[in-house]
Amino acid sequence: MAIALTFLLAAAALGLAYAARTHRVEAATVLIVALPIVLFVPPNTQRWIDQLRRDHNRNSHTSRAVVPLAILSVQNQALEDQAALSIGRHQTYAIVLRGRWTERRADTSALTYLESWLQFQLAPRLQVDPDRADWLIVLGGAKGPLPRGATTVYRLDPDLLVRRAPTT
Amino acid sequence: MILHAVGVLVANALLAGGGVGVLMLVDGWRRLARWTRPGVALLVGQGAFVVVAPWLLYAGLSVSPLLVEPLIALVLGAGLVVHRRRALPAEPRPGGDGWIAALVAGVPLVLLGARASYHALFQFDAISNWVTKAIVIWSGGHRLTGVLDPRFFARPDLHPQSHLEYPVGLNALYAWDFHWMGTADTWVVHLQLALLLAGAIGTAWALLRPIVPALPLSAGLAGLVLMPAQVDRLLSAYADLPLACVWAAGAIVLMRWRAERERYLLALATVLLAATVAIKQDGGFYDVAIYGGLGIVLAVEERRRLLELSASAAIAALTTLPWRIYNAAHGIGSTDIRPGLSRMRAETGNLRPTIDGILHVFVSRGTLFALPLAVAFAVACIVKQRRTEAVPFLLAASLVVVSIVLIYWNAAVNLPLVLIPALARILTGLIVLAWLLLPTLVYGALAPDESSAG
Repeated sequence: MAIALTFLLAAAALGLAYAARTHRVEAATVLIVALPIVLFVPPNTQRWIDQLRRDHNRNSHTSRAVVPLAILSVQNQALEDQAALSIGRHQTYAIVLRGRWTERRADTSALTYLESWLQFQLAPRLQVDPDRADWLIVLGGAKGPLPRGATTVYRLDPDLLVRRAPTT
Repeated sequence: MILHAVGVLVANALLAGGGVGVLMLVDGWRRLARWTRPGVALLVGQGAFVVVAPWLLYAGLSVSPLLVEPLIALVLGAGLVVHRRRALPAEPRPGGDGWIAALVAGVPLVLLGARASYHALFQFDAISNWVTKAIVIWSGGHRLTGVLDPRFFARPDLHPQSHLEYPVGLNALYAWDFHWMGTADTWVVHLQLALLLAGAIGTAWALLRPIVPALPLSAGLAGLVLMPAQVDRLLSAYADLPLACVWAAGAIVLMRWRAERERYLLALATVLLAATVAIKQDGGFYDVAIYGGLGIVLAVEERRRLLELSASAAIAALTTLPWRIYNAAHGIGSTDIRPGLSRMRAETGNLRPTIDGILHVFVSRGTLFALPLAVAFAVACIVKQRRTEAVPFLLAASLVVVSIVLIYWNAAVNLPLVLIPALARILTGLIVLAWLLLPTLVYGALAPDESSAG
């Protein structure tokens, strides 16, 4: 951005100098249009450089999105990785709530964000109703009983990932 | 990452091929200066895709290259046949000195594109709404069919943050990019937004160059690339910048249609304004504003042409029919806005913060004071009897503001927490149009009377 800005300013100055000699209206128009750019764009360059530095520090090879602040404290990376690994691209899953998520004081806002985040991380695998799902993601269920029909279970504290026997 | 970026470039080059076909079909190709054609073709191709791709999805088909490439070839082939049969000589608009714009605006645009390709997706709405749906469209279903899976797209109860009531044009465009990347690279996907901006800039150059000298126009276009508010919108990956690009370009094309009376301009404006509402439903009130603004002008000055304008507006509205039918059939809707006189009486307290919020956005430095400057010079243009762009711009701007005030007045969403902070995004279309028109308005206001500018 800084390079672009320098280039733009140089081009504008050259253009203005040329236009001022030949066409006064043209020069005045360039001046009026360029003025807010010159005044208000440079203060942003440091912010843009900082943003770029932050992006560079993230691992671009994974192409991962930034985990939203709203779910940082409740996100279970191990669960996401295992689910992405185990659930086939055309299989379905359902999210079931247990433990702290069913308590009256549960943070429903964080839960909504967490569910949407899981939908993004696991897409194109689709979330469906629990009775139709191939897999169950049991949030907060690591210490409780296993869901009925479980064939494969991953305990990823505090959550569970469960493969269910196909229903007939 | 580089390969993924090349994928996005190839995806857009193919869309530009479709845009060439559309330009030939509507007899716009021979009217454009040679070096302005790629920019217009790119935006028209992107716009046409955004309009047509949802039709494919609602018809149970996919947007895979297997299906879309033959369609592009069909449009291009038909365009070539029609173009050759017409056998009319080229009558290009001025604008052949596009190298000036390419130099002044192109360099920052290329840098912005590179920056956009190297940016992590971080806004939650962009993640849950625009990109998640795009990934499902890209990778769901079979190769040719079953992509718009009702288990996702008809279940707002399971996906409350994904805004399933929104149109899927932009999601389809991202899905098209993913097909060409071979993966869903959520970093490189931002490049698509830079390419939409490139298309809008190319179109603005092609349309406005005949009435504005090259240097001021180039400076204005470069300013849009560097505008802090615009860069922030682009890197947030929200739909507001794509909407702004197609709407502002469509509005300029429509204004030039009124001045030049060329039917191909009306056809192009129809494509772009249809794309506006296919990207996000906010495009609806933006379209009403520009069609309404120009309609008022025509009603006063040239009533006969109102019919053509109405036909264009009707076509743009009809293109949304499959989306509306799908939503109605699956009971998908939004209760965010509940209009009613009793609500308006009860919520008069919403007016002041809404208007304050709008004014705050208009005078924010990040927008480079685009709107106040454009309004001031539009008024100066009117005083100097140069109304071609000034009057429709002022009317459209007023209608956009009135629409937002009315929507906010009737909204059932938290005003200070949700709606007021969203104003900066929602007004992006108006700010982009104001800035794109600024060189035209300034030049029109300053040029001596004998000039034909404005």
